[in-house]
Amino acid sequence: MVFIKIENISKTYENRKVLDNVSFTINDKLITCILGPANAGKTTLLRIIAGLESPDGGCIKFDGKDVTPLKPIERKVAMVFQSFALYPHMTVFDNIASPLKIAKLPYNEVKKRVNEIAELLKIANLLNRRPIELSGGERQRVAIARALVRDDAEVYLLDEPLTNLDYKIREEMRAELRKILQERGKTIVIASPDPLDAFAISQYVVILYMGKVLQEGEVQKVYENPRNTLVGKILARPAMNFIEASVKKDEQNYRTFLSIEDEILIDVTKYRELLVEDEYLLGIRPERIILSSGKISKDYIELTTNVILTEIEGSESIVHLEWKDKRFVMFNPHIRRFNPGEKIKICIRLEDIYIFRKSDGQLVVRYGR
Amino acid sequence: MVVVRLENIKHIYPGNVEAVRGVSITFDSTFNALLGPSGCGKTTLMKIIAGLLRPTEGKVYFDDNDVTDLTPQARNIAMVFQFPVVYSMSVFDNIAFPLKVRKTPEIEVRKRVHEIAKFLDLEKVLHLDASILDINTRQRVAIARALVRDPTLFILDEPFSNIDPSQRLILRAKLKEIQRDLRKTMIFVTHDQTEALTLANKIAVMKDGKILQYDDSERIYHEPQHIFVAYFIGMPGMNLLETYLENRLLKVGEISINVPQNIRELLEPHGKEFIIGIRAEHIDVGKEPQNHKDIPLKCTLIENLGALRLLHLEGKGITLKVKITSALEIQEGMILYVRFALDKIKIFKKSGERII
Repeated sequence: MVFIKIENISKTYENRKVLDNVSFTINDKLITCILGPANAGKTTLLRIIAGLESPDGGCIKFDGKDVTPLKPIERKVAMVFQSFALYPHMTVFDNIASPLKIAKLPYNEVKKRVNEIAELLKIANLLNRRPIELSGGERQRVAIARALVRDDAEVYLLDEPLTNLDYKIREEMRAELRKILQERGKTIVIASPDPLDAFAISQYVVILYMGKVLQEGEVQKVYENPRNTLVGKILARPAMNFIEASVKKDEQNYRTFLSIEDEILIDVTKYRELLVEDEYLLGIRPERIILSSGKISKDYIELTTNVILTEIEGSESIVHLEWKDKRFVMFNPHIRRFNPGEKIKICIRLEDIYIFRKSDGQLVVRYGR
Repeated sequence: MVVVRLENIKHIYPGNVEAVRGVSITFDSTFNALLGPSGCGKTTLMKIIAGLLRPTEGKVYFDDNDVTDLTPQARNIAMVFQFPVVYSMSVFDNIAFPLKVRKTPEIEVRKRVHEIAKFLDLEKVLHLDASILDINTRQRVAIARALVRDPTLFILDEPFSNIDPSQRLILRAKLKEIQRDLRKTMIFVTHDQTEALTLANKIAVMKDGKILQYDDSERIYHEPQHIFVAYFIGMPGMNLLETYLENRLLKVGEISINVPQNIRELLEPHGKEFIIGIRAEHIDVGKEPQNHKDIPLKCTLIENLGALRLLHLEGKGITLKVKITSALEIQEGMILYVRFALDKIKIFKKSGERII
């Protein structure tokens, strides 16, 4: 296992800053996910860690040793590429075996290892086929098998390993992949745009956005304490809701409120020192929005909303709501269908509200904390 | 409001590839989804309904009329495809095209085009050349052109696959509104369960050239009639476990489930071996047993899915996925106690069809 430090890495392509002074650590005992939307710089970052690309500035340290000048082969890194290239003229067996043959392993050992990894990835029945005869999902699994068949690598880098798969295979592979990777006991880094991969496969997440690290930490901690609105959107499913609110002061009674559309007032007197600007964004997780039971205590706010659409995603429902031209998303962990146009009352616990500055999107405070 | 009836449709492509293997189904005059994994034959079946492909065998009826030999035009079908088809002319002319072909009076054309453009938020681009617009807008133009006339049947073949997620939501909502207001028969072809469950009132699930179930979307989820439907629908798919009947007991791994006589009588004609299915959310778990019947299983993996967790449990010769939304503190490696209500269990034949 290798403890990796990424220090001040920058990379520019054709005047576009792909990575901008990126620093974070990759703990050898936790599976790390680099999470970010398209063009965040994820692939470039992995290629720099692998040594396939050199940074314009900064360095990569493996166990404290600067490896930036080292070639990929000297770094003991195995990588699965998003646009994986299998050898079209070779069978699946030979494709998976290729890194072992290069390493000149005896045939019996090669056969044993290929069979083992093929079994794990449920492609043992495909070993005699050629890539052209496989579905996209099967090819992806062959590519993963080829990277994992080597056990001399100390670091495994997987670039969007589940992105091109059908949702059913993705569902199965997500759990499988984590089991396989955990059993490896090696340093593992996955890059993905899908928060589910971060939640389900990794324990540590690095949020990358437009070449910059927005936040890093244990997945659950980052989820509970997003540093800014972007993190609230990126490490979420579905994205956090944001509502604008402005500061209203009742000078006579020394009270400070956040007002939503002049209709709802939230007492924020205890945070008055922190709320020095005029405009804020209230962040609310979709899974924290619940149906109102009618009796609402002062710890909640209640809104009567219009249903736009209920999306049924497998066994879960994502209800899109509208309130005074503002959009909300409510997440139900089961199937519950509301019809478009239906009016429903929702409520939000004040303690579930995050207060972000509107000016720069930074978190000011989580209500009640 | 046409009813589309297929009678024993078979289709064999050159090289003896059997794409559709005996499909008989009556699509109601509602919002239908034709759902299946890639390669299941759904596109072939859609082409046969549309008249783009003549089936090797079988008949296609619209209401009581045999349309098997009619062209798509004669069937009066409006189609929207995955990749938007627009002509290099103004958006207005694109939308107006089907009306002009039918020699609709100019004043009527203008009224209808403006109505539909307003509905799909295309008013501002009516004068622009459609072929230079982005893919999201082009697809809206294609939908507008399909809607502007009064077709017998709408066929939509994965129309939102290439659309931005934010736009997709709006278009899904619009499409649902259209169906509700126009009350047209729609067939929406997709491989995506979310799309089918979100939009359609009825879903036909297709696999290996056959329709396995055609039902209300709620029933497709809650009452699957085939193990493939149980597996394919839902996230995760239903837990499916091999079982056999021995005396009065259903044996699942090392677990025995007492089977009442009435259920036994239903099972016995189908042999000894069955598959039982139960949804991940219908299983209850706790750290302590509630009674002696609780099954102790080891938690081998926890998938954190944000608002909920999916537990992988193993032991007693079975594996189960269980979904929990509670804050119950669990670590991998723990023994958990599992229980479920018998009425949540579905029983299938080994060959896949549902019995109970």
